[in-house]
Amino acid sequence: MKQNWNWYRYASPATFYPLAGRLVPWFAWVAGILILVGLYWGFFQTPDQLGGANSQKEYYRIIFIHVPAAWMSMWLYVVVTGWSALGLVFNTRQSFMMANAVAPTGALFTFLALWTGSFWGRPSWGTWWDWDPRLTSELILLFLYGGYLAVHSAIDDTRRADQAAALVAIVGLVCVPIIFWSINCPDPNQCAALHQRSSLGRIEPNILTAMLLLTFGFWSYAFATSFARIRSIILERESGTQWVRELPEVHP
Amino acid sequence: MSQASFLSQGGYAFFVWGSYGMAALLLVAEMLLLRRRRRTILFRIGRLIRMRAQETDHESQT
Repeated sequence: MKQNWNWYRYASPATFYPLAGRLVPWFAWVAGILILVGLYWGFFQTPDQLGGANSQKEYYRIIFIHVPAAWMSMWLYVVVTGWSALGLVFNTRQSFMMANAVAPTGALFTFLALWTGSFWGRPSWGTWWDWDPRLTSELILLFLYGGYLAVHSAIDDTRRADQAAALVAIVGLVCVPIIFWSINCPDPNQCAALHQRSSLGRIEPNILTAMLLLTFGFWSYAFATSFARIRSIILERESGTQWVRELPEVHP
Repeated sequence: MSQASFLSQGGYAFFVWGSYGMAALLLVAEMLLLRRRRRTILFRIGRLIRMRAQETDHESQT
């Protein structure tokens, strides 16, 4: 029965719905464990204060959610765009549903990156906000997520909503490299940013450990919420079909 | 490290816990919203099925 096992099988909502349901608890557990271990590591295995050129006191611990949230905000936008593009090219309904399931979690992490950045900026820079390139482009990313979700919910016809929102996502992708290069530009003199440059190679190993644990924890959390959300999206869109009416959970 | 010094974070408690608190709040809120969305759609589909069953009952009686 070789032809029974192929990836296209899971491109059908009826087969993907139960698979996603089985994956949610796994990703949720992995996320919970990674986040807890990462928090322990971040608070108890790291120095209280950083010396050197960029000296920081205890508030630098915001890094353990700030950087993972910022990475996820950009990565999840790439994921939303990827599924949107697949949906437009191959006209597959489920690709659009994927994009739709990921976007709210991406918006959440974008807001969290801005919020924690603000709470970090106040003690270290003396200001909650500055129209610095990095901060401004990340704020635009939040608006792009908002625009994607708003366009989708403003159009009644699901097919057209999917296509219009996908287009918004693809056009907005230009923002992601801008965010990246806003502090990682080749010539430091060209980076007129308040935001410090990324220095992953020179970071203290325990700080890096906690940061990576939280990053993979957030990533796993994003998988869990996206799979949970796509299950509701599938039910909402397929509510009239026979297979949904035969599901045990709709017969309480 | 004592509990008090852990909570005070060297005097930066407001900034550290303000960040971590918002993170916890958002993650928990998203999970609650996801649960509510699932319950809502399951309830709606269940009602749809009952309505159809009543319609077919009604048709067979008349």
